[in-house]
Amino acid sequence: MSDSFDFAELFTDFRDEGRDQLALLDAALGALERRDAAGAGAGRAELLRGLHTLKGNAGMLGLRPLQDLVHGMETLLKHPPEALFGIAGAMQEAASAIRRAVEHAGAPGQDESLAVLAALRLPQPGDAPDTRSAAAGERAGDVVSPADPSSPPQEELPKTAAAPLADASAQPEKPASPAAALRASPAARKPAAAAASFQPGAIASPESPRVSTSPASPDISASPEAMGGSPSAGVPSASVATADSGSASPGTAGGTASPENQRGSDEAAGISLASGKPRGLESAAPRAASSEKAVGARPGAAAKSAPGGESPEEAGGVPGAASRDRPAAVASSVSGGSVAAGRTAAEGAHAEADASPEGVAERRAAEGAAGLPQASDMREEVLRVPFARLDAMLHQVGELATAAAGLEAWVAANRAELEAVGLRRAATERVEALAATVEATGRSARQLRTVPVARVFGRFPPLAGDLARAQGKQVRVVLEGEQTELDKSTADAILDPLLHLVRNAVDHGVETPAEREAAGKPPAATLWLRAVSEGEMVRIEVEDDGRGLDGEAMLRRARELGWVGPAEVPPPAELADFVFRPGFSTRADVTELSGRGIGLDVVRSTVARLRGTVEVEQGDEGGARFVLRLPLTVALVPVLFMESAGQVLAIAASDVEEATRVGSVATVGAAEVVDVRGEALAVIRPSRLFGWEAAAEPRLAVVVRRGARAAAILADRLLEQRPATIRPLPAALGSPRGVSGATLDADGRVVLLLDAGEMMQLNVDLYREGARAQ
Amino acid sequence: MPSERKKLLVVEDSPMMCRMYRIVLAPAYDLVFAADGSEGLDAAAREDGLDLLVVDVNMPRMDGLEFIRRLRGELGMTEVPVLVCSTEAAEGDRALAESAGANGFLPKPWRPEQLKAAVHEQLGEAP
Repeated sequence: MSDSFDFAELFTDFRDEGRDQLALLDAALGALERRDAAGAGAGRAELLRGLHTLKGNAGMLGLRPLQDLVHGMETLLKHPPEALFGIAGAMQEAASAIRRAVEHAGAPGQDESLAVLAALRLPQPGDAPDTRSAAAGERAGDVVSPADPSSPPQEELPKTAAAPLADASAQPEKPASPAAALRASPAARKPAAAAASFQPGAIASPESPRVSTSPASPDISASPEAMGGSPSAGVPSASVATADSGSASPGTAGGTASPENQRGSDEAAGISLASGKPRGLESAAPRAASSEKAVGARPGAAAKSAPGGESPEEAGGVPGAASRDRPAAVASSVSGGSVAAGRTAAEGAHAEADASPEGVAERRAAEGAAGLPQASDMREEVLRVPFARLDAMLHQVGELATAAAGLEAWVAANRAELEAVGLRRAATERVEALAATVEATGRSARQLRTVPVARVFGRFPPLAGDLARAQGKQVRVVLEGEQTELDKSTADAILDPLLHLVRNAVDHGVETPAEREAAGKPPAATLWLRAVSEGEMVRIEVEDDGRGLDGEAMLRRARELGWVGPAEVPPPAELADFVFRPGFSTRADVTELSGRGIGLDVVRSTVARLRGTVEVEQGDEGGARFVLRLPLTVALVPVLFMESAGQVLAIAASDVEEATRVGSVATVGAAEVVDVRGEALAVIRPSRLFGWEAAAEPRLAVVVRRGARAAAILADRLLEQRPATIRPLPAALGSPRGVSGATLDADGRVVLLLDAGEMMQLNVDLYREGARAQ
Repeated sequence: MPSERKKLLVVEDSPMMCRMYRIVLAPAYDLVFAADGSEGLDAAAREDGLDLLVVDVNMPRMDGLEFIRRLRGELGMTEVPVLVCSTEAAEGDRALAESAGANGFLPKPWRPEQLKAAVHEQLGEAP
């Protein structure tokens, strides 16, 4: 039983839950920043419970630093909102650290920049004034013993505690005290254990949980990667950064402050994310050494990927459970074409998924129904339903649509016979009514999977702020179209690509305030995140008003790489597209924060896997604009099935412009072109692409078009068009070029779904090779 | 005992925790899940032959302690053993759980063998 267990799923659960919990936290911290006590107080019970669960879950996964960090946040939030106004900025930073740790829990280390950023950098004396003044001299009287959750902290908080919190006067700087820095980190709560937990070797200590259940399954906690090793090491390194900075500002010292222990002096002033067991600074001093030692041990641990590690873009992957259950079937279809995986196999997969405990996942996020004391305002009742169950229904709705269409066709075909017995009119009317209902059902069903893009966008304002601050830049984030709906799995999966684009914009696009002023721009840059529905697609833009694309540098670089001939000048759109190719970077001075980890080529392939596209263009505000187009829903999209070289293939109907009889094929360089209505279209032969034996010359051209590009996929015949559930290809298959997923044909066989955009790119490459060869 | 598997009700709101319970316990027991105290009461009333309840404390709508009180009181299920698993690991929490009617207390994070041992103990099984 545990053999079938997928560790990645555990982390997926963890991240999913963490995101919900962080959304609550973001709302509360936003209210704190606005000094909106009522807003911050609303839903506090739910928030605290959420953080408590997050803490517990982090503990179960052995993510000790994260656990401590969340604990610190939880402890702070037990104070009345008014007491926290002054430290909202610092709390945002801590929340960013939590967010990063959550997002990268269980992921292979693909983004060291998160560790470098050290988001839990509590305010330092040298910080920009805006954060300084807010945080420097303030004390979070950390009064409540976390061991006693039943005691309402407000009552225990001495009246004086609020006053120092509002005191923004900077405290005198103190010489470097690693001890103070260490104390500033929540790890200081149990210094010995926390320090040990940074060390790979110490992970299996009795304090750290083990997830393994049987010898057959890998032991999460026994592997350093699973714990400190994932980029969630951003958390330990966060406290590390503080220690390294060499100057422990008063702001970083832990405030302990039980009434008798309340220190009014600079010594204890500051923001404590540590839980408040009264303890003198001096007592923490000897532990500094072990902290530094732990620091040294960390990088090694960070290098490898977690065993159950799953890349974030796969994390939200919905139908993963089902499709992963039969990689063999799909795999064979790649090599040999369609394989009769059979509907039963698919349904078995569903059943398997259904047997999982998600029965439990149906739960109401809303509180208040039971009339508990903490029940607050009215909330919409929410039901959590596992994707597997939803997909089963969506699939059945698809079948229903197919059956209804079949009935409609039957009525049309038997029109004369029905007429003869006087039933034609009645039959037609009933079939039409049925079709309308089926269509409406399909729409409603699809909506079940969509969420507002706000849940993704909402993460970026604080994140971009962090990134900019770390580089002495200023960025203001403007969100537009947050209520635009997107498939939940897509929404989850685009977080990483968007994160990369945002970081890219801040690192490379946005200039320093001085540079901006010199260029006559306001010192703070603007970063727009926009979403808008475009029919069956959602368009998402990331635009900045920074320095924009440097066409000349890009052309130079493309020539250097031999992608463009010395005399060749590609159109701007094509040139801009080079940024999505591996190995293309026009920046010599790759910054500390970017240029590592995933590149724009990964952004593109991630987006392609979602059956979307990404392009870059010169924005209207002088900067660069990245445009993503993503399908509104990944489930049940109209799919055209065709036969090519004796194999059944599928393509999203939205990609297909028309299908027409093919004329004669001409050759240009290494590429073939065919004339369709006076337009010379590049020819795509699936047989060549997948190495199949082509039989007779195909007779049909299926014209696909994306933006300015178009191509003709050669096919023998069209089979049908109907709504189908798209599943990602199993990870084991990698991402073969030109294929973006799999679906089932009418007979339940697994069929590859062609990626029109990628196929066109393949042809451009081919054409270019040919042109150069000539 | 191939056929006579014991049946456990797990009252836990976190999907991730549910998955962990399933990983550790499903090989040996039949599991029923409920997402909060209120659903837990429904499940406890509905399911026949529950051998053990594993209950989280921190849950929406109705927390674990209230759940146990009502289980013992309103539902009159005074015999079935209840194991509380809580992140609140202090002795006070153990005492609170016991006074609410819990038979055992397991602090989180637990290791699989600790959970198994606690379940064995409550079920009176040999480890």
